[in-house]
Amino acid sequence: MISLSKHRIVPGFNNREKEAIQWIYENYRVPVTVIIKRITGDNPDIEDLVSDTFLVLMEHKGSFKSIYKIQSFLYKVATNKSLSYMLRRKTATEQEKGVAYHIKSREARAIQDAEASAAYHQLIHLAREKLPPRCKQVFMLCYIEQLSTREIAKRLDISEKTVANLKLHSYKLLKKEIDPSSGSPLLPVLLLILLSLK
Amino acid sequence: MNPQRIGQLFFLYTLHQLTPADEAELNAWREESIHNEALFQKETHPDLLLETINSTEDSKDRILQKIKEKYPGPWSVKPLKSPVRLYRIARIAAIFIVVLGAGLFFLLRGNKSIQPASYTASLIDAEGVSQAIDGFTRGFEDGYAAARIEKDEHGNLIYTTQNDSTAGKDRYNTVRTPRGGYYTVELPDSTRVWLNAQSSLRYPANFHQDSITIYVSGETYIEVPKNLKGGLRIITDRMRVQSNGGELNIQLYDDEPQAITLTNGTATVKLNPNGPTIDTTSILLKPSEQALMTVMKGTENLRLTIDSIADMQSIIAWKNGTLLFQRATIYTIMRTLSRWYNVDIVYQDSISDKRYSFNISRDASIMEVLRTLQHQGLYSSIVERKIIVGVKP
Repeated sequence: MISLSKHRIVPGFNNREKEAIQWIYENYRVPVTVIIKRITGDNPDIEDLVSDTFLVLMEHKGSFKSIYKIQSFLYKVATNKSLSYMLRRKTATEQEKGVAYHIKSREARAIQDAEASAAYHQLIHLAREKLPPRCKQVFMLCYIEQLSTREIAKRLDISEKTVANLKLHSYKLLKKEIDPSSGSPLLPVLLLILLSLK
Repeated sequence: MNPQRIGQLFFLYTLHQLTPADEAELNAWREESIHNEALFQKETHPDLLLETINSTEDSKDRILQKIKEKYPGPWSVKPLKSPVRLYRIARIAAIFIVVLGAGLFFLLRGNKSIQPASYTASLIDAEGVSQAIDGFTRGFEDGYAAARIEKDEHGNLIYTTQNDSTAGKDRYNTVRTPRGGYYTVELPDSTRVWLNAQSSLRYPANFHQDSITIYVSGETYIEVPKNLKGGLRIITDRMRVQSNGGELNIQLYDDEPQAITLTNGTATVKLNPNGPTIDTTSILLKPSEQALMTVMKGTENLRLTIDSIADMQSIIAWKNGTLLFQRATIYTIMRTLSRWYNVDIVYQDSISDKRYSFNISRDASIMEVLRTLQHQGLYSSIVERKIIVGVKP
């Protein structure tokens, strides 16, 4: 992950500086992809939709006042791009049936769900990035694949005791990241998310 | 409930870090509607989680590439303004690397997607201070190890060391490449050394000496200029080499057979007299000959055997920018890929001893290499930084 002073991100991005753009991409590529994937489903155009979303942000003329504005701009563009993609594909069948209203209300729900999934995956992505390689491996097997200690030991060909130690270590590292009193690097992101609540 | 809060509760649930209050909040929300419960079940299911993580990691570089193509402005490298500035950057890079140390190196490395090796190395001076010496295209000077990086006649980057005639004769600098790095060094006497991944070269800071001795490890290709006064002595862990002009490939990786191969000129090779051997006679190598170090049957003693090499191209392919294999076992291929792409290899139980041949640019992506092998009937998949050999992706 690109390390960049918090205060440099928004002004840096307004000047379209490389590091700031990279930071924005690295921090938002996962939630943006998830929004698009959850709304449009599996399709071969996802990567184009994601890159187009970021391009709209890059080509936006005005300057952003805060990171929250950049985030909500990205999510809005991702949602709109997904919807117009769906409409392009769906028009022929759905509109003929005259159920436009239902599509709309269903979409409102779909958008909310997609944003929840996006927030979830952004946090998982950031947590993964905080862990050293071996802990990351155990994190993936333990929390994501939900395997037992024994299964992990077998998979990695190490002793159960080592797995237990790595699990504990990962748990502690993540707890530190999440605990608001520890002043950890994940905290700003969590705060950011909490602050963006409307 | 706000979508951000829902995502946050899912996250805390996945990490087993829900407080009782969080848990009550999550459960209340789940009970609110079948739809909520279905979303919760779907999103926290290991299959969808894993699929989402893997696909977002997999598409990361391709998407960035698309953005760069359509919005190229900020990505082009701006020319650096002055040598002073470059020098400062070098200092900062050196301090950065020393301070953060190996731990962060591995952490950062683990987070990046798999890339072919890049032109990168660190220079360790006689005091043991390490600094990064990658990618600078103009000169900089730093303390004892004055150096510049230039392009040679073929457009390859070459790091040219400079002679420090005031330095003590026992003062040595070391250039070391990591896994997934390669480098080229030109010494003050015009000797050129190509370093493959995970290799090192130790050379004197002061070249005003009757004869020059260098130390190498890993895999190196050395071009010794003809008529070099005093010749060049090359010392490895187990062997001693002397050349008065010639080009040779020195292969010393622990997990490969150690071998010295001469492509032209002459060189003599003998075993290190302090090592486990009873035979330390010097052997004269002729072009296209290889001295292979083997262990004598029934003993721990080492010996050198000389062979004529028909397929020189495979041996020096790495130096010429290709990954070239001719009827190689999968283990040989994977060991090379492991060093070049900085990945770990895991073998499935039933790997056949079939042999494979291919020739691909060393800048090729790991996926291209695996696809080439797949065309020859060998499936592999990538998980994190591991290649699982023999498993369909």
